[in-house]
Amino acid sequence: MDRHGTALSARSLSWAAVVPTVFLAWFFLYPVGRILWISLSGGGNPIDLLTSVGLWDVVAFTVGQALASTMLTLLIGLPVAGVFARFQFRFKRTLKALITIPFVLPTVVVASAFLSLVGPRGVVGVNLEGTLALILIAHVFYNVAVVVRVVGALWETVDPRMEEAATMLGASRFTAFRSVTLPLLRPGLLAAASLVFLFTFTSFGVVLILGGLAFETLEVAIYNRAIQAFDLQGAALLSLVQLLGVGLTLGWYAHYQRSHAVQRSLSAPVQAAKPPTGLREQLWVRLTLGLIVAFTVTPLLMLVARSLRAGGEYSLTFYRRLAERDTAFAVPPAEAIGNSMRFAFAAAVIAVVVGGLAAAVVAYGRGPSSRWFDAVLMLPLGTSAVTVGFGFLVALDRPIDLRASIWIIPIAHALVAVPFVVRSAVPVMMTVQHRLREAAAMLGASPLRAFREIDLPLVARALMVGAAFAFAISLGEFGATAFIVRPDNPTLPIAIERFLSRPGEVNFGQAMAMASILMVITAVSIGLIDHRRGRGGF
Amino acid sequence: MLTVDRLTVRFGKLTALDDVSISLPAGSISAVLGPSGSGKTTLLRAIAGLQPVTAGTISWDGEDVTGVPPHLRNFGLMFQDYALFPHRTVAGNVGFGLRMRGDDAADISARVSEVLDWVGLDGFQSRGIATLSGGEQQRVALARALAPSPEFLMLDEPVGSLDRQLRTRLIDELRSLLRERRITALYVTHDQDEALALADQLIVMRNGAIAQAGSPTDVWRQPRDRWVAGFLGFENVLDELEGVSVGPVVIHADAITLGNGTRPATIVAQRFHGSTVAVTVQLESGVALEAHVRGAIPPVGEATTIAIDPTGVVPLETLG
Repeated sequence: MDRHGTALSARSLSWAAVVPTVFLAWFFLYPVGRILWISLSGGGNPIDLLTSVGLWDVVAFTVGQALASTMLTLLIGLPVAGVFARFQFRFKRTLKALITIPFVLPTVVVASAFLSLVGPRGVVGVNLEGTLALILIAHVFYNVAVVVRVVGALWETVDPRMEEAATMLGASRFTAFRSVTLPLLRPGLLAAASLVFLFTFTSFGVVLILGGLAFETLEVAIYNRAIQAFDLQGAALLSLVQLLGVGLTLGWYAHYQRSHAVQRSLSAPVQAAKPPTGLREQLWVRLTLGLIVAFTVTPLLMLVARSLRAGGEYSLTFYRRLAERDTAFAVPPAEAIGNSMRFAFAAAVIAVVVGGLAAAVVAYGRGPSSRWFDAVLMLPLGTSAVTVGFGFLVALDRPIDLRASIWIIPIAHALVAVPFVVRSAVPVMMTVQHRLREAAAMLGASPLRAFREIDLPLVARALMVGAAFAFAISLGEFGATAFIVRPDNPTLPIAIERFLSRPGEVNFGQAMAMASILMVITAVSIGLIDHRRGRGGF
Repeated sequence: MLTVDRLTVRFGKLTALDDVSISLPAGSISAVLGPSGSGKTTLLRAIAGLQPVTAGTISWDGEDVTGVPPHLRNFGLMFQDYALFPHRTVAGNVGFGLRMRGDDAADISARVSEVLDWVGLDGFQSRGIATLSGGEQQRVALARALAPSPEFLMLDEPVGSLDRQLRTRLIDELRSLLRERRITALYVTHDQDEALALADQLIVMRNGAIAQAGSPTDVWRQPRDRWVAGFLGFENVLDELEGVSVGPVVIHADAITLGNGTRPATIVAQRFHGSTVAVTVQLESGVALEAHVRGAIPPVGEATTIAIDPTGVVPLETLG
């Protein structure tokens, strides 16, 4: 496409590329390279070394629990997706938002919520801490929204008349579903399964907190090797295996997507969702919705209830205690709230500057270099948080020793958030902008003026959405932070984990209180994103 | 007056505009008509300055503007799909060009209500773009293009995405608006009804070159060649009639009358057109002709005779 007379010059774009390139090279490529170097430089046969760190058990458990979690999530998510796709009912949007809440919550909040319910001090009285069942339940809780959203979106486009046609041809309702709808949902099911697998394969906080000492995923093993045993080579080798696993999953998914691009011109969602008719349908819809809402809401309500209950009665004791000096921390734990907010703000600013410039290069640039840039920018998204944190730990002492600086935390968070900023800004920059810039030129606006009048205000809204994402990601980030945090600057998730790992009623109560605070702050910032999105139309 | 002289635009190996020369007299409306890919939008974008040209010149009142960037040409362009600014109100859109040239707020607001009044939308100033219907957006886009009083206005398929009824009404309004204010305009469309209804000059494009240019009546009465005749929808293009080589010629369908002629023919099909009926007749030689007739028609299968008014028989150039 031509951008004659109305576009920013190629030279200003190359300048714009400098910041994101340096950022990625310094904070992503160099740490990953360093991990590679450490894993190979210690000498010894890598296979023997891996065996000595118990790799095969860890890999078997990581893959096994991820597969089991994925299957369970699909099984539970599928009927819910169907109800949302096929039926119209009151408060549909609200209910959908409600069941999406767990997905956006920090892992430590989810883990705390389940401990409040079925932990050693839980309200149910059954202690599931340290069992595989609890890990799986938490993973389902976390990811069921992925299945509902991804599969549901596809399901809505499958014309219900096709199933009706099958019934007219003599198929039972179940056979019609199995032989018509299910095959059409396959791409959605596989997409959702890949995502859930990826999320549970790289699960860190949930397994670390709920799994006790019995279970180790690769993420947890990297952390234990590096932080507890201080075996950097072992941790680096495990990181490589982790990168490989994530790469294979993503590669398989991309390959599948390319080779199975579904052609369905038949989809015409006339008005696919109808109110449930007849007793059976009404019962089915109510039961499904009732169970999923109970599953979603109960742990979160229990978390708040538990945080308010000290010594058998309701009080704000645990919240008050947060402001007092505690032996486990160099500072009063309440300061973690301020730390988290400041880090999140800094991470959002860094992510918006780096991501905004990167998005401009991708959107306005031409040729294969801008496509390559796009692909490289997405790499941190496919890298586990623990690998990022480990990489920072082993690499960022040179050329400047950033490990002593508090900036290392917002930088790590921004690295995780940059892909989200790029993804929310690029489509806006690419689609509308060019024509609108031309329109401005025809009305007498110089290229610079058009950039100020058109690009900036429009992109600013997309960047605000990206910033809010970055803010929320930073608030809940645990895996990377665990490696690089300093005792005098704990974040909320770190403080919660520290409270949870210590014995006693008071520590547990304070963990619940902090997790409740973190849940509310996160929910508010995500709510703001949704609000802005709704109005801005992005 | 706008003059385009030997304009050529190439995209790599593809020639999008090939040696195009046209002139648009002051105060006239010209319509560029052609199938998609014929280069009409490229021509418009080149004149606007949004498309760099490979060779040739564009001049306004004798002054060469080929190298002038678009924002300094003082030309107006109404975009296909309007390209309204979604983050600004109706007034913010319409007043944009006035703000760019530095008018003060009071003048802008007065001019905005004046042009909104022209398009029947005064009072819509503070509305958001997303709240407007398709027809209202079209009017806002027109008002926005007209507000800075451009010397020359281009319109790229301005009613293309609207439904037929609204289209006809808007074209009528557009024509009187442009005429009253004596605006020189270039109108790009692929719909010949629109072009014929609006234009003083018709420019038919094919493969990046001008296939024919002239007044709508001339082009319609006398299409230059087989391709133009076919593109304008003429059915009766033939090389010979009753075994006599005549061609190629086009016979206007309204020049053929039924039942009073000398040539025997059979009625093979009828298509109701409202005030006329399109009747297909077959001559004894096997040649089929279409006639547009009024009044009672004999049923299909009936034998009849036809007469051809010689002024309705137009020879075509053999090239093309």
